[in-house]
Amino acid sequence: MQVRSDRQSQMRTSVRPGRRLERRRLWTRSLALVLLLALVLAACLAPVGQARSSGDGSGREAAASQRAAVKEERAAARQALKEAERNARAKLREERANTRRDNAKRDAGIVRFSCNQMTVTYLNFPNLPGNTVTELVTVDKVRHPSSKFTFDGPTGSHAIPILAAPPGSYHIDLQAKWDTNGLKGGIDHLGEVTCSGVAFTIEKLQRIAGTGGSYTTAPLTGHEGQTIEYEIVVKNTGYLPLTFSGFTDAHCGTGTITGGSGSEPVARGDSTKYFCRHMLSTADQAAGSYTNTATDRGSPPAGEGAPITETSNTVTVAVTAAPPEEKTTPPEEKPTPPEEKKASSGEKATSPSSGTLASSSSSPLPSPLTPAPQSGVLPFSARTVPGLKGPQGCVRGSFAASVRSVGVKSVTFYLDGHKLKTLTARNAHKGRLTITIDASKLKVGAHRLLAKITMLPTASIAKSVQASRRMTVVRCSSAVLTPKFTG
Amino acid sequence: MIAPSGAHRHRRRALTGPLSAIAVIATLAGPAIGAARADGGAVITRLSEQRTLSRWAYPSSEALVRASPSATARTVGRLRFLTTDGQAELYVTLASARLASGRTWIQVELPGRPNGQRGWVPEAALGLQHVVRGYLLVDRARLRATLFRDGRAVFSAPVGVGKASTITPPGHFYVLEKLITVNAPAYGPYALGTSAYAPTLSEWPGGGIVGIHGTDEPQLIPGRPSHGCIRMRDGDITRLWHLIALGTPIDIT
Repeated sequence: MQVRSDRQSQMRTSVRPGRRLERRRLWTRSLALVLLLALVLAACLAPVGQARSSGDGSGREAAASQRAAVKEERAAARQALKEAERNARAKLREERANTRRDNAKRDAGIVRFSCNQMTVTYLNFPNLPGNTVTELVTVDKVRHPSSKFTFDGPTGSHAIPILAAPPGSYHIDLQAKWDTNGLKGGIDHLGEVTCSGVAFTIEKLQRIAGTGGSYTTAPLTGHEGQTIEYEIVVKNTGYLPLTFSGFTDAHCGTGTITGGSGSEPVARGDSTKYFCRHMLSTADQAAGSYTNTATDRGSPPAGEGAPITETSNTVTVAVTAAPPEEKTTPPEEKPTPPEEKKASSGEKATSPSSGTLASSSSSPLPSPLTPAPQSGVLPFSARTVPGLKGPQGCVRGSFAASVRSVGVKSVTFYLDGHKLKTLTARNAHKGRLTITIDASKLKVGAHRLLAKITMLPTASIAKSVQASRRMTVVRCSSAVLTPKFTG
Repeated sequence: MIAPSGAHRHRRRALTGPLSAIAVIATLAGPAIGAARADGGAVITRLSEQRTLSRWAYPSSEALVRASPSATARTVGRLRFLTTDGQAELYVTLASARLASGRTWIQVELPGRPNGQRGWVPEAALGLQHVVRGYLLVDRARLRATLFRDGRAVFSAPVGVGKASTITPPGHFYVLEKLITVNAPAYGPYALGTSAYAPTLSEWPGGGIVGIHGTDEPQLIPGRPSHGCIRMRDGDITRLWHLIALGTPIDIT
């Protein structure tokens, strides 16, 4: 405003003499003033711009720092989440391990204690070979040396002998640990047993005579005319030697009881065996089954206790009219192939005790009415040559045929006269020599399977007994078809 | 396969044979499965009662089937391994005869024409005995099939049976084979082969076997539309196929 008034005053004075000079001077001054003002203005504005520019930089820094903070927070959260997950996983792992351990503890084994031994059965192990368990047995705080037990497959049973203990009560502790095939665990079983000076067990076993089967406590099936052979095992489980007398078995055939220790005492841990037999009768068949139980009496030395009597388990034979599993060759069968005839010629063997034995091809089983041996073990004969087991009815895919391997040296299998394979005792699996045949490659119809069996020589027969067993396998067509019914 | 002409030719001679008494005793034995001693020392045991309990076995050889339990009795047929559909043949065992000589013979029912033939084979000619419980009753008058087990009806369904010219034969038969049908809508999803043969359709492919099967004409059930077979609705045959066992007796009345 003041500048304007100055200018107005200058204009008012411009009409005077020497005016041009005056005007120039005024112009110069004005210019200087403007410049000065511009300088002042610039000087004033410079700090503001500087301040403004400096203000923008700090915002960016703040934003950057804010972003960094967020990043850090996120990273921390992520880290925490990871940590939590890791912890949860670890906890889950631990819980699972605990569960496994608990399961292992709960299901890993069954322990049975007796005065002479304990039996440990390990369960639910990996189905792999070489499961190894370390066992430690403590009897009344006295440790037995630890031992290792190795078994294959999911189950293993181990009988651990315990030093014979005098009569009394004992605390037995079994600790077993394992870290095997990926399974880690252990069991700790405590038990108390009372060992008597006078104790024995009596176990009755049975088998059908002539079938070559081993003695068993399991129920069997027989038919009228067949003879059941019994084996009664009496074991002294006490501390004192026992003399056994008064063996009774109401259902043994009259005069068939043999064996036993007589008047000789049986030492602790030792056993003696009785044998007897019974021929299944029409009455047994009508009754449906035949059961048998034996009883024996054990006496300690004089003055060391009272005699005790024990009763055996009961064994049962279901008596049916069903034919036996193994068959004789029917007369209507087709002629024997040449190689079978050759084998048949070698089937006869001479036994010093029983003379010429029947050829198995014509009669693998004795007549059911043939009396059983009195006692002891007969040398191998056609009777003891195991049978050939295979599928009944239709076969379409693979099927297995097998021969029990006990006493067998080798088996050669033939199908329709063609040699398939020879198996020796070394090839036995689960007590059987088994061949698997792919039936899908066979023609639909009946096929003859032959097993030429060579038995191992025995003490009484130096020469190997040979026999053959045969069966018919029926290869069927598919059951998925268009039927040929009348509709 | 059975030789019916031979059966007729030798029937008179066999009935006068000394061992025929044994077969008769076995056949006429009471309903309970038990043993009886016949003249001559043979012990007859009934193996199948054909209502509650029956037994059957696969053959282990193609043995000749005799009219009575003797190797010299007339031949009434021969065991065979396969059915006409290529399945394992099986035989219902009716009785066993244990002779004084120690040999045991088994009386079997023979699938084939004429229906209802029976004969004896050495026990070695058969494999292990299988047990089956219950039976299937096909009532042609009521047009209904009922499966009994332990005296109770466990399945019942309407059926279609043979028309007057091609009747479903009456008699005692058994389930011979269980098939899954393919490319044959007229037979439904499942089929059961029986030991019965259609009396009038001897020239039919397969010999005229009477089957129990499904159908693509469910509207004809219950009825008498078939050539002798027993037709069921597909849902019913599916249920029955899964319930019934091989060797189950079938009583067609």
